[in-house]
Amino acid sequence: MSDALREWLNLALRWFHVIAGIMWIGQTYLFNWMERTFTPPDNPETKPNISGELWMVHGGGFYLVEKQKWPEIMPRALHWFKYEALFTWISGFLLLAVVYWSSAPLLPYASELPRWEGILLSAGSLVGALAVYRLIWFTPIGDNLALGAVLSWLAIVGSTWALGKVFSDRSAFLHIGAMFGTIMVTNVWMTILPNQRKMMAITEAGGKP
Amino acid sequence: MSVPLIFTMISNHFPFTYDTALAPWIMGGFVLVGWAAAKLIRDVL
Repeated sequence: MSDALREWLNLALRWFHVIAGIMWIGQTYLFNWMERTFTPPDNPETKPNISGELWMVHGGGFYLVEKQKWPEIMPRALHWFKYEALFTWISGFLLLAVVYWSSAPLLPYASELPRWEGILLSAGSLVGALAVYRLIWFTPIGDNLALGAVLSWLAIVGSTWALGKVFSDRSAFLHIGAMFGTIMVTNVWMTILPNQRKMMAITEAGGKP
Repeated sequence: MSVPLIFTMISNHFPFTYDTALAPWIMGGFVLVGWAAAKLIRDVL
């Protein structure tokens, strides 16, 4: 790949990645804020399915959001929030390849490791991080929040140390971020979305989750 | 997790954070600060 092409790809992907990431994180925190701000309806007997209401003004619009206890909105358009996460991760992964795999900064200058081995380790670190994360948080270990947090923190410090032995220092730090991003996007696509689909299916079948 | 993640992204501009033998502990420190900041965003802001 020519240097000029790589620079253009780097710029375009980085621009895209930052915007997608802002949308993903912004959405996450907006919904988080909504969850914390909902108040129960004044007339709960007439709204048995509404657990919280929320009024907002933004720009030129006034908004009422109602949180349902079980999904009742089947016949109408339902908006999912999933592509922000996916596109943030895809653009980030391509950026990792363009910036670190195909040019200088992946390995230290004195490194004797062939580049392809570095690339394999780089990709493997993402898979490995996911495996460790799932091992901690999707097994009985994770039922103990404090234990899970301590193990996660130790895994992060240990990974930084281990990656620093192979990769350039700068690249080691970046890979910690790439591991976080990989874990986060798989949480959305492998855990949250399938559970949302399950809830939809239960409601469609006439039941209440 | 997103708050520490953003630190790793911008850390590339700050060599003093990674260009040292203490790098793993600095990462660990920023992760703790990031977790605390995320809790603040979630619960207060």
